Amino acid sequence: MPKLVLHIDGDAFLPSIEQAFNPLLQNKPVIVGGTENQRGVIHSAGYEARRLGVKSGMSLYEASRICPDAVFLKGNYRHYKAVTASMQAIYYQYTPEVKITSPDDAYLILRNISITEAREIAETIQKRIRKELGITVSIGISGKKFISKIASEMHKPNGITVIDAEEEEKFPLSLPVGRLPGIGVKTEETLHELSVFTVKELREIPSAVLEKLFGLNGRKFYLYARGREKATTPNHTLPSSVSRETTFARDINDRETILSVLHYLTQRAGSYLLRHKLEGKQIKIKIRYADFSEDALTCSLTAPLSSPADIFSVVQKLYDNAAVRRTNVRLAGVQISRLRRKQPYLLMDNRERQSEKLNTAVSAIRERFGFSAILPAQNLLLKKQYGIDKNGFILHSPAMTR
Amino acid sequence: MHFEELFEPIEVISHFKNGNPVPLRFKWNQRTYSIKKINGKWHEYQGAAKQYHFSVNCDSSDCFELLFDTHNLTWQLLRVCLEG
Repeated sequence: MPKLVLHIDGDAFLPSIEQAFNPLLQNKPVIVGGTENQRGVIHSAGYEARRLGVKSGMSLYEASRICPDAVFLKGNYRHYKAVTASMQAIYYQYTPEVKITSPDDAYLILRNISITEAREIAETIQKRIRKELGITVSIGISGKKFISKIASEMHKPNGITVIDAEEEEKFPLSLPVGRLPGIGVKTEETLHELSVFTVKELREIPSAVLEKLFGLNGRKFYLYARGREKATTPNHTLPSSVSRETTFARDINDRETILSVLHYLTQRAGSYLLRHKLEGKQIKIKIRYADFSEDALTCSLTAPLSSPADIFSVVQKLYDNAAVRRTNVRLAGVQISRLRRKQPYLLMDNRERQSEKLNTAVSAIRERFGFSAILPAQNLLLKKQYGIDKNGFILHSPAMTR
Repeated sequence: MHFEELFEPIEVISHFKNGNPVPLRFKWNQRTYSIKKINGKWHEYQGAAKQYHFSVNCDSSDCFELLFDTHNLTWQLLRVCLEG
């Protein structure tokens, strides 16, 4: 029997967690991302708010205008993380092959199982998450990851959609191209300019043309249009990237403060890498200015890095290359991608060996006493501007992105 | 709806079930509140210490968030959400 893929997607994940924890929020429009008088954007809106036109990514100001009665919450990301961990613990009771792609969605690979049995497992998982955590998830089932992903979005909330093996090739044809995973707003616009609106129309375009237009993704879209996908080896919980970003409470143009925040964000992302024994070969910084224009600078490395200090030296160089504008900065972020499991290096010089020892000691201290127990001197500047608890600085808008 | 961040130490009567604390009553502002319903709970680690968070309802519809810290075995009233 071939494998089956379950794609599990949380329904309005963050607002649902808040509503499950606080009954006073039930049936009310809930918006997570910040308070109504705060700067920044919505991270997630509950179904009640969505019905009134509020969308993720919209500014908090715009949302408060559209939906003045909404309950605005800054969000407790430690709570969301705990719920994600509980969901993952449930998944691992049904299969060891789990790929977590974001805090609220995951792929489960089930082998040697019929579609009826897979559906029963999906129903059990759905019921358990509802009973134990008070939230709902939607699940798509098929033999392909991308079809399961599309299917999970078809009957939200709390739906299960099964696509049989015989339907897999025909299933995507009638869908708009934007429904295919990986096709975002810009790619969709490019396809629309070529009069390609549906997957059926996408199917008419040769692979070479798509590859020329979209690089490696072009080949992926070519296969998707035929109900196929490139076989991938399950790598369990290995994320594709780790990122941390924050919007400042007010726009700033002070190099020291921006670098200090970038340093802190690098520490947070780097400690994730160390904790999960990962290293990355690509580092990116994102700077969004007061006029909403954005600089995103990327550096590909010849040797992968995991030490926060080494990563920050690259981040600082990238920032110095970006910091040519005088416009105030609204948001700063760091991303480490092209991740892989940390390889043991036999040939390390003294500095590398010392750095490894230091990172291990710092990780052990933080593991036992919390992240704030030991902070680098570069972050002292932030003490004047942000509150601090055992888990670190309380940023204006923390992000839970991976 | 109104949220108040309190982070106040409180006295709690609780019992332990399957290794987990279950709050029954707490004292805040010289008043004793009997817990009628536990709406939800979650836990996290602050370093090696485990912290349990509870959302509870007492006599009214007001919602209280309690925290039990295993590091010093203390309870706190983190926040209260008042209707209206």
